[in-house]
Amino acid sequence: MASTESKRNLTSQFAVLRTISGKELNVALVLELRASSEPGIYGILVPSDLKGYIIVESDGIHSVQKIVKGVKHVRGRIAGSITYEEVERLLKVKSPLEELQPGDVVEVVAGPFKGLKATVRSVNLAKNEVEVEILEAAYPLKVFLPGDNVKPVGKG
Amino acid sequence: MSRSTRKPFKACTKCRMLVPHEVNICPSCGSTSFTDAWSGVVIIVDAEKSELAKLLGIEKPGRYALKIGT
Ligand SMILES: [Zn+2]
Repeated sequence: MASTESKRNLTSQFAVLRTISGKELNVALVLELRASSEPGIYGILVPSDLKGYIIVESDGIHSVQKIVKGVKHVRGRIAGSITYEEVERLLKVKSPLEELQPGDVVEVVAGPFKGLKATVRSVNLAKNEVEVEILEAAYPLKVFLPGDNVKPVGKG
Repeated sequence: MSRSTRKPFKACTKCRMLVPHEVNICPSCGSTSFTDAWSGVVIIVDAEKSELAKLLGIEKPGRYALKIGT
């Protein structure tokens, strides 16, 4: 984890906006449109299990303020900001690895084995890593893949 | 409210890009496999500067589901 530290865009800030519950995506789409003329906006996050909140990644609060002004369904001003680590944790909650078990069939969705099916052999949540056996290889092929590189396709 | 809560987008099961229901081929990866079972959204505006994009392994700007599946 520390190895990615040097590549991080340290100017990124994550502002938290409150929205009317159920309108999170609507707000995000309006902000997306406005962001096209505001180069300081990098991304917008609508976490599924955080009702009434969205997170805007930008070069600073001033950029967010510009695009948020007057947007419907936003409640109040910018509610605050969260750290990179908190964002990481928010995204980790969605780790598909948590639902994987040995024997499950997965499809590899990234990397050199992209598009191939594989059987899960073991799951390492802490390292966000999964050991799989590639099914469509000519010979038994066991590899370790980052958790995000596989997607479940069915139970084994 | 009797309005259905049908999602405004479906998600590519390969790259998770969100597209309108009438789209048949994913503009990002060319896949033809889509699902309505997705949750969470990330919109990447600037793929080069975005840490969200890096964390999620997204290389092109656009709208993506955070999670595929129920
Ligand atoms: Zn796709």
